Amino acid sequence: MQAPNPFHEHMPRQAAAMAGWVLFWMALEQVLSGLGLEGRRQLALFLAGLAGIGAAGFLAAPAWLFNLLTSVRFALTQGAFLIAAVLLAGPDGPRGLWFCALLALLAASMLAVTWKRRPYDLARAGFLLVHTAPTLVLLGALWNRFAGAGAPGRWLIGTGCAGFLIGCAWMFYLKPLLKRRGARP
Amino acid sequence: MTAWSLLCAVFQAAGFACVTVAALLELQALLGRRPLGLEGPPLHWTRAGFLLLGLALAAGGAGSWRLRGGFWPLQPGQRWGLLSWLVVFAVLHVHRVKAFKGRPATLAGVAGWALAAGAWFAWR
Repeated sequence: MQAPNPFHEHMPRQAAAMAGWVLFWMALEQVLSGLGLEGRRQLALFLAGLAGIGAAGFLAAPAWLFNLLTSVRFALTQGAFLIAAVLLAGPDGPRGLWFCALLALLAASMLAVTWKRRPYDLARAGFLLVHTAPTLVLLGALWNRFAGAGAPGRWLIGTGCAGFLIGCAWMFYLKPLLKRRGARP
Repeated sequence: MTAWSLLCAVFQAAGFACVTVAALLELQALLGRRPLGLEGPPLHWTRAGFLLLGLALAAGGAGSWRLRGGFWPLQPGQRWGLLSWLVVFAVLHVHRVKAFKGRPATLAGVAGWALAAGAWFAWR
């Protein structure tokens, strides 16, 4: 039996946990900078830490993690944090590990939502594109930070942007239009 | 001004115009002249705004890439574009939560518009 107010439905508790998540990465960034680790090394440690946390969460409580990542309320909490981050952080804020950690969480959520929507068919193509394409953009940005601005990063970001916009157009306009005309999209 | 930044400005203006129409419809709903909630025309306008603001972000990103070889740091106009796109993202997701349908979703739409408009004035 499920708790009356589970974590994936409880936005104030999610916000507190997100604040902890951001503070953790801010503190880690300070520590790593203090140790003289900057740039790519810092980013590599960030990715290793993120992979470790993700794997631990997946092994310890897969259902809890899946429910959280696919919750619309959690998407709203993440949206509120990203809005606050853009409002409060300076122009270089998005380069910080804490901002990357917020984006990584968002990407994990979108991929989990995509996984939840199986089996895949054409009617869900827009939804799937909208929820997978941003991960390509983030992968492209990550590639650029590791390897410098180049063709692979540009290709990933360009494909992600195009996929996202095509997905939006399909989900918002083409699918309802086909539905109205009686065809199964 | 490059062609990309001009395109970005045009998409931003068109996107924000759509969001403004949605906010006006939501304001009418709060005044009791329309049913509460995002369903119907406010949702269509919000979605159009989301798509156009997304296009603005893509065009702005392409412009930054051309000029500096990267997306960051964002120019003030692009930072506002990202903020308003995130606000519309949040409003569209508020609409997906059953408990927030009706007045909360309508309020979120108007508050989101006010936040984006306020940030535009503050950052200009």
